[in-house]
Amino acid sequence: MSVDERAAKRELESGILSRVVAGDVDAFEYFVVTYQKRITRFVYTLLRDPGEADGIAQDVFVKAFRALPEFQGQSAFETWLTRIAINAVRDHIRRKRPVVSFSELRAEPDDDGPELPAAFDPADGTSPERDLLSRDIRRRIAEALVSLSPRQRAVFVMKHYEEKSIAEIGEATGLDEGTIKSHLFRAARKLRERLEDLR
Amino acid sequence: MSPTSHLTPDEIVERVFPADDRAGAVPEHLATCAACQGSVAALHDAWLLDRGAVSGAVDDLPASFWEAQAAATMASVRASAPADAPVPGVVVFPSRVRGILRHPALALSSLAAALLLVGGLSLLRSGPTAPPVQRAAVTASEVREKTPVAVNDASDDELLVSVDRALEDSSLAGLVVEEEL
Repeated sequence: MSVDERAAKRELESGILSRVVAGDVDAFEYFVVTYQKRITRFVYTLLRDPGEADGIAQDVFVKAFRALPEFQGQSAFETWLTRIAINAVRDHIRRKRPVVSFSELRAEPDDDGPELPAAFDPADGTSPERDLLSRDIRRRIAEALVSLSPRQRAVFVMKHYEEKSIAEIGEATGLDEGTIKSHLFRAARKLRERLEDLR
Repeated sequence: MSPTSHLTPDEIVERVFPADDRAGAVPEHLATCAACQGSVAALHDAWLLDRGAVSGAVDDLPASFWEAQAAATMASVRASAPADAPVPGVVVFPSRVRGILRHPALALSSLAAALLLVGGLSLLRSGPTAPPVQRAAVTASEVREKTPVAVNDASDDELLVSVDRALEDSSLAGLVVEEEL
């Protein structure tokens, strides 16, 4: 998206936000429809549970709606929404932590995560051994991701799954560059621990 | 790292998941070692596989899923909207009227109680047990008749006339009744 397009979008959204704040609740549907995929995907990448991703994505919009009077418009609405999503996932993980342990998740050897559409399968067309290795590593990446702290997880996903820059991550999380890099480094270290036998 | 030593697991992970916006320079060894290139490629492939899986799992959801999610979200949003939020094009009742509309039973019972009270007071005033009003409503002429002429000066007369007028006012008479009650 070009700078002009981004500015136009921000202006459009600012106008819609004004309508919502003035009482036009239905106008909020624009934000739901525009960002529901992006937020659901983000939450799903963090939690790896479709049901939870759906429920939390809905909560994110409701929380955003309730907090609209506090939105200053200093960042893009999408960035603000992402921050709400990160907090919602963090709260969810904190609430859930005593109930489901990571060891329980690891106890499922056949769990390869969600079904992979053929178009997204980079192992397609290569040898069966390489396919198997890829799937095994992928499972371990997913496990490593789930073992990260909520903040590390959010930073890692934004950087390596959403391809956000350090500056964009900083805007969404409120963290400074050094802290973000530290989170990324620790996340990579945990990943490496799970991939110790890679070589 | 010497040019001949293989990449460590840390270095392999760093190649695929750099902690910076730009990946570091390619180690000299990596450019020539097929084993290390294979390790980096395996991790890279697996990461792409995982990224594609999560992204694809969401993007492949049918339109009906998104419609249902949007509808459910908007229902929750509407439910969480403040009840007195102004809606464009809709005339907003004053808060007193809104109270009646929200709790009609309460409003009607309050009205009935008020009517009952007024009715009761009226009966007390007009019935045989209303001597306080009669007793209070002593006219100035009666006072003049019962008062010696010497004391009946002009100022007293004015005062009594004003009291008489005041007592003729029904609301004040009611107050007298209430005080008696």
